[in-house]
Amino acid sequence: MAPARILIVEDEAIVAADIKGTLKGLGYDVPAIAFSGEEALKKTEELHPDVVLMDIVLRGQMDGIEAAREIQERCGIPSIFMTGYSEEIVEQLNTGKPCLSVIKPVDENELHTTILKALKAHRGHQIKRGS
Amino acid sequence: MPDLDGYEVCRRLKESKDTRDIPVIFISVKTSRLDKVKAFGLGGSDYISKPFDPEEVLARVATHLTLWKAQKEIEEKNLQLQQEITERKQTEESLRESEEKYRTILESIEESYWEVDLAGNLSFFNDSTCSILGYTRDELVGINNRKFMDQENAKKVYQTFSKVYGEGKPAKGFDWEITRKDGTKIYVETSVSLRKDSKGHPIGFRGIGKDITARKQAQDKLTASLKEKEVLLKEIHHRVKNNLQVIASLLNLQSQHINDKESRAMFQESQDRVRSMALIHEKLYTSGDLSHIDIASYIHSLTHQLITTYSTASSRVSMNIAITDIFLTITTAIPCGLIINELVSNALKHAFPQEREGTIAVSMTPSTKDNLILTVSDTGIGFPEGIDFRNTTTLGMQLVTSLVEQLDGTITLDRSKGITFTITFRGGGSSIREGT
Repeated sequence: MAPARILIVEDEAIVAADIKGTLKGLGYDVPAIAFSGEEALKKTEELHPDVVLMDIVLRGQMDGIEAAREIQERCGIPSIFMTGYSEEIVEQLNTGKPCLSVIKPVDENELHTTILKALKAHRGHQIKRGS
Repeated sequence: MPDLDGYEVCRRLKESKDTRDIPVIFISVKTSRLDKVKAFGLGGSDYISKPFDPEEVLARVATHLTLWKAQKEIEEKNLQLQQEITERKQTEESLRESEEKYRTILESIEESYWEVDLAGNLSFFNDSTCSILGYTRDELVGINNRKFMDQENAKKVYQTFSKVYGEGKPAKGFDWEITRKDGTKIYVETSVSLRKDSKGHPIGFRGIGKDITARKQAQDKLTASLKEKEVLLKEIHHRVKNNLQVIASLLNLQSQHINDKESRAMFQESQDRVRSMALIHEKLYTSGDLSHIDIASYIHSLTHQLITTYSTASSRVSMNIAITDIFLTITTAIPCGLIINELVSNALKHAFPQEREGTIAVSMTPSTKDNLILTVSDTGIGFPEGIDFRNTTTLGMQLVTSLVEQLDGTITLDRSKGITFTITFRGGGSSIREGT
């Protein structure tokens, strides 16, 4: 089976490169990095990744939460949020649908298990849709 | 009469103040008209010609005495009236002065003074009321207060009037927004009290209002500027945190090109230090208080961060964090965070080799005035014998020693059971919330 493809949305290029390294080390494919919510939408529609790894605070008009919602609606692709330790942001996320998140700076193991969870849910959903 | 005739006696009596009022009745044989005229001219009250009837004389005397008494009474009453008139004139004068005084005050103050009836219709007001509201005097007479305010403010005024009416006590210093004739909005700070008639029945309200628009605008500006600064400060802390995370990522990326295990560990330690600092800034911009860090929340996050980094130990080692609500300034929090980072990561790396289980405990409590006690302990294998922790070759312990000095504190090591580091330092500018 081809490795799962993960789109990174992160406005700090070096942090993104760091995460990309971690993901590659875990055996995932990172087809692209998006620096803004708008770019994330565009690249998701172009590349159809399996999962989007989404920073919340982004440059541009759209924040990560909004971008993730759009991506879910348009492409049906799940996002994993990268949050700080701030409870404020976690609460904000909890007001919507249940979502997956990892704490930044991302830990390799935590990231791995969360991606597996996202993939499982996503594939399950796809099978249901397909049948 | 020898020497002194009756005329002379009468003249002298009428001359003297003490005897002037005594009625004089002439009795004479002279009956010429001239004599009588002379007698009356000298102030005589009556003239009886001899021979006379004694009864007539008595009747005349009685009449004159009655007349005399009546005159006296009239004079006294007159005097009283005169006095009363004088007093009244004085009262009127002082009333006029007083009214003049208050009118001058009313017309010279910048504040608006007004009186309304119970329905809120203007019945009396000074010139400042006209200039504040922007209407002429004629336009304002009898106008209801609702004319110069919107519904929301009219409601506010109504509530205030009701309260003053109900409690009978004046309402002071409440402000409302008024719409002037030209449509501009101004803020007026007003005191309102109840007006009563002479029997004590409420008949309306009176108030003094001050235009505080300029003050209000300055206040709003100040609040906005404060808010702006807060946003800016948050933005800066966010930037600093991001930059520190970038540095950590750079170190991580660089370390991927190192094969030597020991060198990689050094890069990992450097990352940990940078991240412990990044976390301080994150805590600052996500907390309500931009100048103090909730140290309990910080230590929870920091130890979580370290435990996931050194995940080999995470299942065997439990963390025990006991911290009162202590809030540190950034100058204290940064060295404090770095010290905890070193001691906890040391414990995670060295205290529990070969599947050993145990606990790492971090606590911070206030001690004597201004001082805080930080302890980091573990139930691991203990500090190597014969090594002075102040004089080691490892960077971590050297940093701890330096940072304790920076905090102007002291550090002691208890080796009796595992390791316990106790650091006492001044909490300069920190605050402790009691009762939690």
